[in-house]
Amino acid sequence: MNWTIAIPEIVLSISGLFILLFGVVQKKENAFFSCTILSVAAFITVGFLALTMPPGGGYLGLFISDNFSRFMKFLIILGGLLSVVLSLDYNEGNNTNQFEFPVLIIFSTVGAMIMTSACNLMTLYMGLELSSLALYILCSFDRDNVFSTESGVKYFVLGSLASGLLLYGMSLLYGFSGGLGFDDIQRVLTTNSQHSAGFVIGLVFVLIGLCFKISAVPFHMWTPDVYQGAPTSVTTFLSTVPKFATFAVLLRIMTTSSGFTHQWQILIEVIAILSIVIGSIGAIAQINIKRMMAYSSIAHMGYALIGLATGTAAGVSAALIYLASYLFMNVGTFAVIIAMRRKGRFVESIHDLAGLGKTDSALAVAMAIFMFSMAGVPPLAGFFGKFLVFGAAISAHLMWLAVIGIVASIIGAFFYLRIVKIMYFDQSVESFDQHSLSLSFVSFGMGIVTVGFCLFMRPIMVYGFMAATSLIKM
Amino acid sequence: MNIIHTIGLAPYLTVSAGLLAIGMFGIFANRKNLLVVLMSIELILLSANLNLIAFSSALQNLTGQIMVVFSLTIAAAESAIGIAIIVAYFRNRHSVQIEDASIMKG
Repeated sequence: MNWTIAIPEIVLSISGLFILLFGVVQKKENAFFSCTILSVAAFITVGFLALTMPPGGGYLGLFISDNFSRFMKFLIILGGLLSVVLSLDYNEGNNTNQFEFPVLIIFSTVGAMIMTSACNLMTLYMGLELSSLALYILCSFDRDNVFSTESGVKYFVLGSLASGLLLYGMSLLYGFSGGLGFDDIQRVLTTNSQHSAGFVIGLVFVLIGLCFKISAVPFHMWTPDVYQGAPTSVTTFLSTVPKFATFAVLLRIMTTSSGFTHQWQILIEVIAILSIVIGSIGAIAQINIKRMMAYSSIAHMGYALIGLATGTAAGVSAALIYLASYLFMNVGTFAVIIAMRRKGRFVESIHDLAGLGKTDSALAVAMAIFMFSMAGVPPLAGFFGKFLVFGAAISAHLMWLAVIGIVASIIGAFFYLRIVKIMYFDQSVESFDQHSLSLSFVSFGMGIVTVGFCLFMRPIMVYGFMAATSLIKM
Repeated sequence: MNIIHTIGLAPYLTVSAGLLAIGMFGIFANRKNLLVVLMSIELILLSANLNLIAFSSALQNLTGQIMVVFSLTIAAAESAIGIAIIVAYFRNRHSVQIEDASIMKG
């Protein structure tokens, strides 16, 4: 049994337990700062460990490590690391600076990492629940705030309904394929041409559970409320890490079950189109910037799903690059949202950004970069993601998918550019408070990556393509 | 002789589909109490467990029962967390009515 392939997960879980213990025995009044610094160190260590993992399988075929899982784990660890760095400032300002916060983020990240390596429904379910259970608590972490607890209740009820449906789907898949491995599902799909109703219902239930987690459209109802109510550092995490992990699972299941590609394809195409259109149109009416980002993330997941719908190696690598660019611009935007603070109170309306171009030009430039990038303006990161995804869709003869995507991204440009207009052309009300070094660091770093994405393109594309080919070949 | 071969798989699957339907109905049609929602979620998880055990017995394959052990543990953790979140919510809002959970809309 080759247990060493799960070393990153093992090390991260043990560091989580160690940090929890450290926080409990700490004599000082507040261990939040030291625990956060320790978890940053843990994330960086595990990030390097995850990059050096050799490909292979282990744990009796329950766990797999390949180029694809390595790529996704790197993105997930980066997302967790940046959320923890952002929480350093936000949770102090919000008076939620308990040391359990970084520990919960670590456990949720471990669950997400397990999901990317799952090649068995049991591993998938355990990872998904580990990641979700920690997230339910994180959403209601600001427990004296009615918005935060309400978002926790909503996420808990809908999230556990989705994982219940997922489990029911898994039980049907188990019954009709005789095993819980993805290869058992594939065997049934390739050997029988006529599939039993129970098997198809099981697949659809699993798809519903996973689509809920990436907030793809028929199952997106929870997203705006939860994003608005949860503490902003949690929203940063929620909009990146669990989505990447679920996306990894969707990619692995879809590419494993190659015999079913056509039926999958139609479902995924419909979900992608609905997500893009409803995400872009829903964001127009939003005044609260966190709700706007929720609809924007629904639309972004739709674009990434286009890459998945093609089912080709080019499409999968385009989706991976899209997710990487989404991580950078999304975390950067949330760093700016956390900097929106007047007299120690966080403000969330888009009109609070008025006149930012005059009062804090560095922050305004960073926000403008992220907004232009999300709208897909050429030299920035978001453009390359969209370009590759649409290119893959056209070469897979999914012309109408690309056309609807391009039209919706023009609609989406409206609300991104409205932010830029408010920042530079509206009268300023009052300037924001001085923001901390960690926020400047994250927004500046993400801004550099977003602008210079064309320079880092080559390695990211090479790794993305290696990841995609390791998956398609399977 | 295994009992499942004398009875057949169909009754088990019917009961579990019925439990799933009751659970879904309890979440969507119930406009009253969050605790009822918690019970409905448990019902959905139990219907999946019943399915897994029935299939495991019919297929003469232990994997399904191992999965049930895991999913029972998770269901326990899930209801503990659910109760904790509902208590935190109750302290802020002084109500566990579902129609009161609507300060965020749009």
